[in-house]
Amino acid sequence: MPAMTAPLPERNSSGAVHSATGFTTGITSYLQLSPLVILMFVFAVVPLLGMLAITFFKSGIFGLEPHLTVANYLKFLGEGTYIRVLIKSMRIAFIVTATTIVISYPVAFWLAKVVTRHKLLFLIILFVPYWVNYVIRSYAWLPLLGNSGIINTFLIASGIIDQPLSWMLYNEFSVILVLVYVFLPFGIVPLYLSIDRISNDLLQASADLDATPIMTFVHVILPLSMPGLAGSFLTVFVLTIGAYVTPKLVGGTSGIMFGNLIADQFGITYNWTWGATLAVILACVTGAVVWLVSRRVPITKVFVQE
Amino acid sequence: MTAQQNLTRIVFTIVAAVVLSFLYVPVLTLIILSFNDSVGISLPWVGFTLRWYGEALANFGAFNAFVNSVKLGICVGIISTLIGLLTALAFRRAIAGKSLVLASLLIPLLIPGIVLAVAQAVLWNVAGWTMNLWTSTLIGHLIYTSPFAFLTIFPRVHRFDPNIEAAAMDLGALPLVAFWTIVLPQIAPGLVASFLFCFTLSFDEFVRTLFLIGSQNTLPIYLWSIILNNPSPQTSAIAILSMTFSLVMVATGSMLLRQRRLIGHSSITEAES
Amino acid sequence: MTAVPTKPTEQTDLELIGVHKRFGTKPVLTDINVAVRQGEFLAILGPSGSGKSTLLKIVAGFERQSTGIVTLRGADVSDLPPYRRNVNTVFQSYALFPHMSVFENVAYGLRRKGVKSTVLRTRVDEALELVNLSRFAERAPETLSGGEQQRVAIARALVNRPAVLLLDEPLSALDLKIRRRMQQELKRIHEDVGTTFLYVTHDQEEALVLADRIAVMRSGHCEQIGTGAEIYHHPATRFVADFIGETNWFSGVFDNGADIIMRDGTRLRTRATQGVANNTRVAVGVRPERIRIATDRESCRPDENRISAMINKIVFQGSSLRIEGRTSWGDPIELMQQTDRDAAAEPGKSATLAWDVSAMLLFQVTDERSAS
Repeated sequence: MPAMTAPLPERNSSGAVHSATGFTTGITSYLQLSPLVILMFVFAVVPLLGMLAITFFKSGIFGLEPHLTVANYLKFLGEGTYIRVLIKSMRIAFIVTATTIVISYPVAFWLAKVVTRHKLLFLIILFVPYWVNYVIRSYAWLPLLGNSGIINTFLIASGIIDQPLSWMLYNEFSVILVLVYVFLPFGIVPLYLSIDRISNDLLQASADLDATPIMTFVHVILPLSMPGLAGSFLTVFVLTIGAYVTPKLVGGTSGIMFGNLIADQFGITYNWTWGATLAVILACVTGAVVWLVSRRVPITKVFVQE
Repeated sequence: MTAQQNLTRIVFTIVAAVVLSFLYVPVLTLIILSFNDSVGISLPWVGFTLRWYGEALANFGAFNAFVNSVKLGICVGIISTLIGLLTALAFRRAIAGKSLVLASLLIPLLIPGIVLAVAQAVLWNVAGWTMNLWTSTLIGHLIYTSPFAFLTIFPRVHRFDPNIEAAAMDLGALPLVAFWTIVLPQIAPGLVASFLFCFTLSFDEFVRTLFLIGSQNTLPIYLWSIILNNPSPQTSAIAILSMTFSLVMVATGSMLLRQRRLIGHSSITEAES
Repeated sequence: MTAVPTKPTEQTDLELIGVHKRFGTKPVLTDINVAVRQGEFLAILGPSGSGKSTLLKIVAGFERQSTGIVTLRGADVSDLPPYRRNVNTVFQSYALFPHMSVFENVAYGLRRKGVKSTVLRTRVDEALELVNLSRFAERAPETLSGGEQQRVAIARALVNRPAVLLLDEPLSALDLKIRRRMQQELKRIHEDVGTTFLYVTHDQEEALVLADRIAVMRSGHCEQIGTGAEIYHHPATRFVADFIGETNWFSGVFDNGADIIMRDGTRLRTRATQGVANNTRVAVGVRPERIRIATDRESCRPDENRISAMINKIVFQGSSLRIEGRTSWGDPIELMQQTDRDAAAEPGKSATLAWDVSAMLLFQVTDERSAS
């Protein structure tokens, strides 16, 4: 029985939409917002500002030395190690993000357009590996990549190589590889949601007008999935640049990332102000990248796709 | 379907299959090696054994950490869903400050977790409040998950036809009654999705927890301490057991959700609609 | 404003007195005074943006008027929220509760009032019976067609026995044939139940078919309230004359107390009118169905206007013919004729057109109020 449901009324037309908002006051709405606003203000905004503030002090043995100083930032610019690690982290982040997006696009497209039945089932199949704990997801690569790991054992046993490949673990390569693995679903989901919205009619029309698949991708899919692309990019980039677990587990000494440096300041050394300085610098770098992306695609559009 | 379209479909399916295998290889490795009768976590294969699972199940510290993670996850799931719901409802009206609130929601998503964790840790230490699972960790998780709750619930609330709620009030329902009888049943799937999502985020959350934990453990923290100090196949066994638990939960959950009930009518299955 | 206040002896179910509505600084309704008689079917007719939906929302309680009062059966309900007013609304989009069966949808209002289940069951069955949907009681709303859904919406509203039933363009989402059928259904239901109906529409044909009286709205003003015949034959403003039915419009100079002189000197006669000064510009209209093609043999009657026109096109419209032409002074003119009669005109040839003097609608050009 075909159901003729009326289209959803336009929210802005004065005609069709009835709601009680014209009669009631807006006080309820402000009350409804208050839990979130209070939570975010007290536990996100204030701490961030506070953390920014203490970077202008030095911590001594008895607490904060009570005079303003930019010594922390000068120290950062002065010592080459920290800058190098920051640049390395940015490099790794960009490579991981780019690789993730390149892999995510076809998978997202496959999920959105090629799979017609049992979509939910395939989504679940895609996500089951991610029910393994976050820490373990990086840990699981150790027995794979190590000198006596599965890959090396297999290659030696089948005679392809004589000596185990030692470049697979405890370096930048392994960090990049494992980060791609760990954050792949975060790259797939925003793209999937975006591509799913593209009407099949558009793709058919493009094919109808004799466009090759590549042309359809460049001229139809890519522009229309921009919010999803930006979402994937930002999500994976932000996750990667602050990575801690993966570099620590599989990075060895050459794969150390900025997140590890920050965490180190809160261990034995317990140098808050320095740790806060590093955190602030990381936030600024990330903020700059986010800002650049938002100039192309407005941020709210990325996350609130209606 | 044209030959070109068929070719496209085949190519994409192959790519997807390759990627899926990539996703499963570490998991399968983990499963296989958890039965390895060797103290090391890697090859060589010594023999098949279930002793690691035995040890895992008897591991009191691991079990405690697991239970903590579950309890915390449920709380985080419920509270952040509530926060997300209230915020989404507030966004239905055109009120001042909406874009500011939205910005404050999105900022936690765009700052690396470790930065926010450090900031909060500083706050808790400076203020001198006790840091434990139900204070600093809970709030740290809420900051992380509430934006996701909002983003999951908001589309459903936003798309909800306001005429229907107006109809309920027209027929004599007070605003709260209208919400409870009409709006809530309609957005319920979104609420469930938000709960599951936030639960998973909390259950899996590590870095923020690391900075904001007190003396108790969550499962990721426990696993991390073992991995750094004393890794063995037992670690994998614990992780596999945890994953199995999640799988069972999701399976039962989806079977319960499969039957959609219509008020005043016998249940109709998804296939019918 | 040409609303006529109701006589005190008649029962008024709904009254809007001095209602104004502003959204910020933008006026949406200006000085609305409407009294709806008990049991009446009143249509609020107007184009989009005329404020008709806002008016309905104010009666229902979804909007509050800026000034003025709304009374329901004598009682001032201006400050009551929608759930405390004894009115019910049928929405354009039906707004049925998707997660409830048809029965539960209809029962919703009664349940909110705490009606006992035996009584409730009887009343819901009655309401479904009224709209011929008894056998759909257990169905889900999405499995019903548009017309059926609308009927559920009507039953859901009427089962509560409201003082006034408000309908907000309820048929505009339906196909033409179904819409025609539903119009008849609505009329039947109205006669059966006797409840006062307040019906918003932009479709003038629908208003004429359904309503006892029509209130014509334009840009927040009520231009005229009257029966269909009154509005059609004696439109108060040019807008009303234009909005209802078709009209041929000509502009000329008023002369001699009753004549209008066209560009080429042709003199048209209207009924004698006071209040219009000679030598002013006026607009005159005549409806296509009042014009006929005169044969040369007939002599010009004193109560008739006759002009010469060039026929351009004859369009077959099924039961009628539309004949398009151009007057001697250059304005386009259309007339309608039943198909069973021969056209007595040919494209490309000139013809003599005639109509009664009383069919002329006269409006002054400056303030567009009727002078006749």
